[in-house]
Amino acid sequence: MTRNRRPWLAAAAALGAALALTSPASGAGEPAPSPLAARWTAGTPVTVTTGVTRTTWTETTLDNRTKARVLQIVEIDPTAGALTLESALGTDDSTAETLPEQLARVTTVPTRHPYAGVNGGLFQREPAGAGAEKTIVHTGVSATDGTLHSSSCWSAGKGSTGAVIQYGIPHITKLRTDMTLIAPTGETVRIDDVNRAPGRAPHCARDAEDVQVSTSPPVYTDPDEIVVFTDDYGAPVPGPGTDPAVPATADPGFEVVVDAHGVVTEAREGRGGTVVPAGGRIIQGIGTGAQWLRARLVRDDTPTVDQKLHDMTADRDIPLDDSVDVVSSFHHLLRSGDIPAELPDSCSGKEKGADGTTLICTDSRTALGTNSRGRPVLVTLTGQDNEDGDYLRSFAALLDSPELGIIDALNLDGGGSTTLQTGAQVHTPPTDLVDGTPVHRDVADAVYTGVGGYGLYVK
Amino acid sequence: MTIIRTTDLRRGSLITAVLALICSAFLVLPANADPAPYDDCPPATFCLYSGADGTGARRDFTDRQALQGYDAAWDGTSLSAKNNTALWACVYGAPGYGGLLETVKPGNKDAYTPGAVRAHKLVPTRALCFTGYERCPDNRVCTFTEPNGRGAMTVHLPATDATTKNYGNSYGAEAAPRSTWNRTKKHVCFYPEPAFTGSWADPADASGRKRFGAYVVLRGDSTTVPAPFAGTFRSHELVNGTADCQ
Repeated sequence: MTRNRRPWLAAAAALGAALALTSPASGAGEPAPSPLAARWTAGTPVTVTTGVTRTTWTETTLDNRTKARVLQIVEIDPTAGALTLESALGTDDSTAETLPEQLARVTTVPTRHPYAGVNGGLFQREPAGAGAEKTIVHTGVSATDGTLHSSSCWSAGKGSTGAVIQYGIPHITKLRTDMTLIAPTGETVRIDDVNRAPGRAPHCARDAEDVQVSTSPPVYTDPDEIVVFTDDYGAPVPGPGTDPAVPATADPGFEVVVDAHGVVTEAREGRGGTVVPAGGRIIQGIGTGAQWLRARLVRDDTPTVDQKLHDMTADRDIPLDDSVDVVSSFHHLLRSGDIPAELPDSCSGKEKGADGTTLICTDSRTALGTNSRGRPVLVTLTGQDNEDGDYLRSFAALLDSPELGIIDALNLDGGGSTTLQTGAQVHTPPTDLVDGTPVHRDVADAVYTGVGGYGLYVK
Repeated sequence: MTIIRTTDLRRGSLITAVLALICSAFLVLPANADPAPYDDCPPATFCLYSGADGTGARRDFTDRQALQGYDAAWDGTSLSAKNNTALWACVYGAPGYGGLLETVKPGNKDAYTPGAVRAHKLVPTRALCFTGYERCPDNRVCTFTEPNGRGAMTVHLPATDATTKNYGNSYGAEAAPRSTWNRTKKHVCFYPEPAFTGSWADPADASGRKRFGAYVVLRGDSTTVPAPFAGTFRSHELVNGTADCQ
């Protein structure tokens, strides 16, 4: 269509805009400097490899502290070199390891070791016992190479916040998983989760049936569940009685072993103690979940597991192919350049500041984001040799400083989990003690930039 | 070379706020006044205009419509745009998501010089404007004429070479790629000659004796191709292990 605009309207608007933009500051003073400009100073960026730099900002005006904090930003320019951005689980999905251990497992070839990485998403440990030796469970969606390792949090059907890492870019959004088990008869049932003890959902409800039974740590229960275990779980699958405090975990249940061809090799009463066959799955059920499996699956059947990952914000499915990794947490720190109104100002570690009275937040922080140049950034906020950090909204405000140009950011696991590594060097302080020795904390997964391609010498 | 216009979002917000204030003054115009600029752009639509400030002919796109190039009537002719979708609009100065990139925040408008708008897409995260890898279909090797999956894309359907028996592709006269996505289950070895041969000098080797015989992109990886390999590939083969590279 073609439409003419009134010329006088355009002229008036242009004049008005020009006046408004060129008028002297009439009472409105200079904008306040950003938190970063006011209290921090940047060091010289260090080149990790072509396209990867690490910049350290150090606090110069202490905020009721006795020691300065450090904000470290690793910027990744995917146009400058052969670089990837991916997540990693380390040895297997059930084991927590330090970031250096996780990154060392990415490749056995030293020249292709990741250039830089940070710790990944939130997790909680399951109680030891019944075949599960303090195995870890992700909070929210976790996936590597298109394989789901954890379902989303339910949140009244709205899903939970995560970063879909694909094409070298983290896309931060609300995610919801929908997993279905399909029997050879065509009958379907909801799969409650992946790689955790049935009956005990840590950290958040996975569906509307889950009921909270503990607040510290947060634990939910559902006596009628089906849980799938993947072949990278790594530990024997859990048996009854994983958590004496959660009665549903005592259900003896029913278990189905599926081989790499999708064929049921065993369908048996009871569950636990078996390692998932390579390329296969183990499906456990309790309560009505066990009844469903018992009534529909026998040896030589070929059930189907249908897994969907839905972007709730864009309202579209994200195909779970090999290019998809996901890390999760609860909070979006920056969304299109703004601090979300719903972001809480939470803190779990508070102590008295330098004045001996006012509480300060010492939660170290890790974030994954993108900046105005479209480049991924890995961020940590810590003390120099101690655990320190900030309230969640204050951390978001720091990242919102124009000097950084960060547009989107996801809060990852923080506190003692916060770790940043480039090459073989860890740049964040150890915060845990083992036999009196400071060590870096074991974490569930990692986000790293690595080698996208490489030359091979003539033979 | 790709030039990226990085707008100061905060200053942009200030300008938007000022313009919104001015626009609000005109909302008290009589009911029979012409609509304000861009007001004719429907909800949930990305609108391109042939004239400045939302004037002239208008072309509408839903948030599921991306175009790597326009027909002759619209190729490079748009002078303004309004983004009424909930997604970021990425506007490119060359077909195939190449050339100069400008982004339009959800709800915002933008102005362009002639020739600046030759392709666009709508994405949920602004950073996704800076890549075009998502066009590559599953189980294919895709190569791109610009870094980071941007520019013209070639989708390679693997074939067995009649002469060499290599499983891959020997390239024609098209521009050699500057980025690639190996979206297959095999590794890819790239070569500087069409017959899966040739080599590159290692720039880090002062003696000049060390040479690379292949550039490897492992299965599933997408990457910009660095020097000395960028813009030199003339063939590739798919292999189960990199020991099978020539």
